[in-house]
Amino acid sequence: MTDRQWLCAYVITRNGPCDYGLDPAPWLVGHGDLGIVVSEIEPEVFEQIDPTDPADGGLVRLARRHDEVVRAVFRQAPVLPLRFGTVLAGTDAAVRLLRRSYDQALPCLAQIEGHREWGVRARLAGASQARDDLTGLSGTEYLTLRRERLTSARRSRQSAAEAVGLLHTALRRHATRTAERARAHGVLADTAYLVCQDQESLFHREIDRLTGALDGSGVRLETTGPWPPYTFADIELGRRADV
Amino acid sequence: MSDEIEPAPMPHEIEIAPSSEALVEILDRVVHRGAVVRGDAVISLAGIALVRVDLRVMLLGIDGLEEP
Repeated sequence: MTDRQWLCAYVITRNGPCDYGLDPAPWLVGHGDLGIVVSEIEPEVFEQIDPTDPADGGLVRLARRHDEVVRAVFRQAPVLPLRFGTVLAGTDAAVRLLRRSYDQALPCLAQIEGHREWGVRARLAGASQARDDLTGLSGTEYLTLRRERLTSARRSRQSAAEAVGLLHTALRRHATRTAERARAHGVLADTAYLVCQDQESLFHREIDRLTGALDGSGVRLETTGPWPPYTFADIELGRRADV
Repeated sequence: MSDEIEPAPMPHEIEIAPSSEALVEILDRVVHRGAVVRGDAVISLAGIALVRVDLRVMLLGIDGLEEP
């Protein structure tokens, strides 16, 4: 790399004072009503990421730093989080990005202002079943038992899926936007909700109310958050061929 | 600088434990979400796309991912 300055960009936010209480301190490059929060970086640090073992490479450290800055800004102002690894070629490039993205980013920021993201995951509880004692069973008896077990498991899954559907219907009433996330095996639903802060009490009361009912359907709920609106910053800014 | 995550104060605060699953939650949002910048973003980290699936498989022991 040359001697030029490279900037790691974290969020687009409102232009204004920027003391986020972090060390090293990121700073804000402003343009009109918008600002982009950046810190100086050597692009080579991204080479510490080991694709064969990302958990033990530099990815975790870099991603935590990214999340730390995004959260720090988010405590003070609405944010449009930028994708991890966004590196700009200096302050002029940051200003150009803001200028080009202005009409896109400003309304987007207004839409998510006052909102926080919450994750709700529903998974089948107690998926493992005690093994049956098959001693002395005939072949026919074994097949009958096996069929009964499969039928029971299918009914349980249907019941759980219906309960999760009711949960989502109840929760989305209090959310401005929702987004389904990729699900791991055994997970019935993994949903991100963008919730206005004046709806958060109702949103969580609904979760509390339904937790017992879902438990009876064999579903366990896990809630994470509050998150900056990472999942809902799903836009593309700038132009591809303008470097 | 602290490695601890300190979400903004709020009702129904949910503590994010430093578990591998919590780490996946962070990485999934930080690495795979957020606005994409074209043009002046000189590094878009194409390699991260390769990390994407492997990471979650590795940390969660997931034996299958279902896309929404």
